[in-house]
Amino acid sequence: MQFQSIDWKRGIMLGAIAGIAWGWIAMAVNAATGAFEFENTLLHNLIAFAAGGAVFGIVVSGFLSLLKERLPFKNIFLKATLLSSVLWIMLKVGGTLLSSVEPERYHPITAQSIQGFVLAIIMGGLLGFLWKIKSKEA
Amino acid sequence: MVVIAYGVHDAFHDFRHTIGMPCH
Repeated sequence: MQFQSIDWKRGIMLGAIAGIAWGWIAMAVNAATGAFEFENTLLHNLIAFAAGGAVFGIVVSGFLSLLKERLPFKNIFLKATLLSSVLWIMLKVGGTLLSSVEPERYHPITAQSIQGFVLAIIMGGLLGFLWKIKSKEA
Repeated sequence: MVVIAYGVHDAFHDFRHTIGMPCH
């Protein structure tokens, strides 16, 4: 059962690392596109994006370690990208339902939605890259 | 993740907008 331990630790660690990097990349992408004008300070966002990114990364990586044998594609990049995209779409669908229930509080913005989907693909690529490196080391 | 994505609201406000989640 040793392999399970390696996967477990690797999933959490790689997810957190990829997520933190992704959070900061998301900040840079948004600064470049201007899809949303930041309202908080740079320091606040560096921490919030790292924390939020780590949470997203751990979830995607956790599902990747659980489902990697059952997912289509042989390439780990494609597996991770599929998972991160599907996860983002599920959250988006949930958000759309919330928008219909409470339109004053939740309303989608197209430019941010497109940016978010592209970022979800980037998350998959980052995670796939780290998994590939770690697989070669193991 | 769901709590953050849907808002914690103020703390992750910019993050939510950036990743395309609905927000006010």
